[in-house]
Amino acid sequence: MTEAGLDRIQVSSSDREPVPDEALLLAWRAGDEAAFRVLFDRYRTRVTGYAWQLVRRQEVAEEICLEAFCRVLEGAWRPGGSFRSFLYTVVHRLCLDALRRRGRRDRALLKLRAGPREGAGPEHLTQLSQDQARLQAALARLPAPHRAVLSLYYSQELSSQEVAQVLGLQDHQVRSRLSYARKLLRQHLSEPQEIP
Amino acid sequence: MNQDLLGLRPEDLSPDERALLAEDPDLGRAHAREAALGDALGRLPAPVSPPSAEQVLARLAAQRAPSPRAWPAAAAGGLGLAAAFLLAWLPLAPDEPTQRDRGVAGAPTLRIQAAAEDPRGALRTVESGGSVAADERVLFRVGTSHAGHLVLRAPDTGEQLMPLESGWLAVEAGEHRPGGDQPLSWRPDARPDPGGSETPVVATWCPEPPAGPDAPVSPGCLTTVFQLWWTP
Repeated sequence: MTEAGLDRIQVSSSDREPVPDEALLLAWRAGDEAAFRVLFDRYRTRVTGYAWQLVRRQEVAEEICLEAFCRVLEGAWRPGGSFRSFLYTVVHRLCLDALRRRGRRDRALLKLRAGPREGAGPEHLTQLSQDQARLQAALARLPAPHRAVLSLYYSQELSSQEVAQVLGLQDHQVRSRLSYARKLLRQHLSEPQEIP
Repeated sequence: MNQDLLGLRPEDLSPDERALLAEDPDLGRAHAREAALGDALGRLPAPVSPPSAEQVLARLAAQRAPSPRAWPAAAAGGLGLAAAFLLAWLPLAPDEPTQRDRGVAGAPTLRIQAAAEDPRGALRTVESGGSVAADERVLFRVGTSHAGHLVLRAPDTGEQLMPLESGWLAVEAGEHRPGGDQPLSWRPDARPDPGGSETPVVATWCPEPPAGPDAPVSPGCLTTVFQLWWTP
């Protein structure tokens, strides 16, 4: 390979590979606001989406995203650990906090009501295909721990090891929980559902 | 277990597991079906509008701004770390004077310890009857000397803190935190009164679980009350 060819590969490679999250966080802590913006843009939609899958309320999900980033930016993460795992761990804990704060009465209502009615109105559902609406409704009926594992793995595309870190589980427990959650989801999908 | 490898992405499978899926057509088809369900989940949109970077920066600036309560922040932070360490590692003192224990003398004991977390994440220990600011959150730890069934509630707010769902938590002797390995902090939803609001947090331990969450506890049960004084 010629030297010119090598140069092109290096340029192309560096163009393709995003700056690691951890490097962006360190840059932010060193005073680089632009680094924060890149990092925040990378995760803000995904993190808010994950929070919504758990708490099913838009305003709460948005607040969780905001609070999680404040905690992570100023928080305890140190080089050596995965930023992504740490971020989702913080988000997950805030979601559990939010679910608990609603109190028993609200949780009972949450269990009794089909999820998409809470937080996601009919406007949202009309934007989904019928299959997606059924899937969303079935997902909303799962207990939060099962929604969490499915969302982290399939929607947020964390590795099974990262999911294990976020949820405080062993890798084999994540696999087992994923398997059970999918089974439960299929059960709900096979039952008649009322979709607004 | 073969079922547990279905629907996983290739990078999360070992070479042996990938080979197994390739060699067994039935298993391969089942895997593809589960992976398709996972893909469908991954494509589900969430109806959210995430906050902006400006909102995060504004909140961070507000948190960094000095406040009348902030003068001992460094000291409180240090104390908080020490408190967190103590709370996490030290065994419960046998004669903690800050709670009332009710039960048979010499019988199993039950006690609550608490730490307040300020908005900056600094921790400090709180005794029963101690003050907690409205913007603080409280972490609880409940110690039981015997195995049994435990519940932690804030009766005035109608909230159950542990277990998170209704019912009782089967516990071994030892220390138990709401949220388990991922400890959860708590504060009432309602703002405290101008003069402060007393909020009791009650732990109940029973050797056998009562019939229901609101069923009367038997004489063999223990109840401990931890009073928090929320101040505006």
